[in-house]
Amino acid sequence: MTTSLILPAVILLPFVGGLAAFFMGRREGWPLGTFSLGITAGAFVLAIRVAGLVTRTDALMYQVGSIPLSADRMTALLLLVFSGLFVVIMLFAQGLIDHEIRSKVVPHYYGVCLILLAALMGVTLSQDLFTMYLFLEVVAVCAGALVAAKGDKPALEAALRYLLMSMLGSAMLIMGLAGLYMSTGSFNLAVLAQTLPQAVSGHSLATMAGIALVFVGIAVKAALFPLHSWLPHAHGSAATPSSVVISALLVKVNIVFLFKFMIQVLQAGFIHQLPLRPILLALSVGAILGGSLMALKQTDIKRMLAYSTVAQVGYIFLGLGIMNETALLGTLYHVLNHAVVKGMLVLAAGSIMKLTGRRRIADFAGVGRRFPLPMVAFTVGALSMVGVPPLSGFASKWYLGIGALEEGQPVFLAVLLVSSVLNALYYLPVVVAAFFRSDENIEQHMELPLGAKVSMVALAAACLLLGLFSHAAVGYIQPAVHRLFLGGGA
Amino acid sequence: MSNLFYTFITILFLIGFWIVLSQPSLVRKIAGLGVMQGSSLLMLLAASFAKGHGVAYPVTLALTAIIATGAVIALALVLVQQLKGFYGTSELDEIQRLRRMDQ
Repeated sequence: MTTSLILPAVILLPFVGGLAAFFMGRREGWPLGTFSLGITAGAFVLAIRVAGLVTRTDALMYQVGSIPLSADRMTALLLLVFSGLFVVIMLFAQGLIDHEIRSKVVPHYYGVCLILLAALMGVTLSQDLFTMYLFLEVVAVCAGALVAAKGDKPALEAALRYLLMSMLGSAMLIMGLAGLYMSTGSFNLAVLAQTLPQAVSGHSLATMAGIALVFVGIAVKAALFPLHSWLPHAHGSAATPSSVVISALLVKVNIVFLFKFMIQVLQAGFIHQLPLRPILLALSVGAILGGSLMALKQTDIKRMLAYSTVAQVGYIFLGLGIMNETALLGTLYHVLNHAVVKGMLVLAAGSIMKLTGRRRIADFAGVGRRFPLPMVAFTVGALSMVGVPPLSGFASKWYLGIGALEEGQPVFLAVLLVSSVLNALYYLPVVVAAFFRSDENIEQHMELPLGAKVSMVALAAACLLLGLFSHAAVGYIQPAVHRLFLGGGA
Repeated sequence: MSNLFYTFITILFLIGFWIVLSQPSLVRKIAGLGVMQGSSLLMLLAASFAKGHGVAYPVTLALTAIIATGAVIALALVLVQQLKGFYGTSELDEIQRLRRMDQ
């Protein structure tokens, strides 16, 4: 354990940057876009530094008042992906955001994005359940504002739907936290981990209800299958950078909360005493199959991507339900993978929508010939979703599958395979039609800015690297997961 | 005594949930969510008080949470107001119907 000021700095840098963008952004000639890009790049550099430090010392910590912040290899990798994805989103937004939202709200848009990044970092780093919840609430306000920023009827309605569901989830989450506080008297993750198993015998009702409410609350916020209805709305009607934030980050940060709650507080031994795993497994299979089947039915590209996210959330919960070390590594890796891959798919689809003015899947015929770069990025993402090696999607499915086999439950391997086939059924026709059919009537509405091109290339490269070096990346986080999984630093 | 508190707070929470489910008006739904969140924070205070931990620490937490949820509620209400400007109603079902007609 080493104390380091870098942890609060990771949260404060984007936060202060966000405030500055808010208040200074309206001034004439202030380089708002470049400034925001610089702040996210700074956060990315800090995240790289954190990753470097934890490689040597295993864990960093810093105490802010009564709130402990701590980073290990697992959180370092999450920080890297969150901040890296924001760099890409900012690059993409440079030339395109003015076309998607009114210019009056652009400074606010950048400000809210940066504050959202700070809150994501906060959830990942803090070691106190209540602080994590407060950061989640900041994430919810920012995400609601990002969806609403487009300002038209569907966007406002979608933002409101999201906020209502998020508030419902939050209310259940606080009630759950109150139940846990009743039985343990603390929100500190390490203290909770020690006191919860004994608390179950004393205050079994409060503890059990508390744990159940935390799960339901997060399931609502993370769009787990029967509670996913807000996601396609929000995703389909928001501006493209906001859609990336929703699919790739908003859902994920809630899963990070649950992941930390499960492996740091409940821990392996205690989870096996609770009737949690069958429920998680049933819901995740429902999400994987239900989400994929719904995606198959969609005619709008962005809604198809949203239902695909519903299915991917199912994969993540599947790993949490299987709950052995390999499956957890698969889950964590899938959180990273899906953030990168879905980010790329949404950016590619969004670019094509901007370039051609088309968003129906049926109208994508021939666009790949006319605009190869976004469509190649889309293809790389689609293949990764299907799980074609050596792309990143293959690696996380591999670990999840091995985890299922280790647990002696090959049925989940079958679910993964069926879902890969379903993924192929809804992604590949888009790709095939885009490249092998032709359409002479495609109009070009605008030039694709350089930032958008660079962002797609960067994500495609990240997808390939995460696939090729999956073994090294999983090996890097494995010690942290192993230590947490076996309980209390032992 | 503390069980009475907990029962009362749980009932309050369920009333909030019932409002969210049963009321068609978005403003009332948001009010119901406010009741749910308020009762959750009340539960936190009651739990701390009953355990003899004192309420200083949970009060600071509750205040922070009230600010955070207040921000969410404010944003939600602004959105309801804007939607009412577009559609002339603040009922979710009605808005959905009108949107379908738009398309």
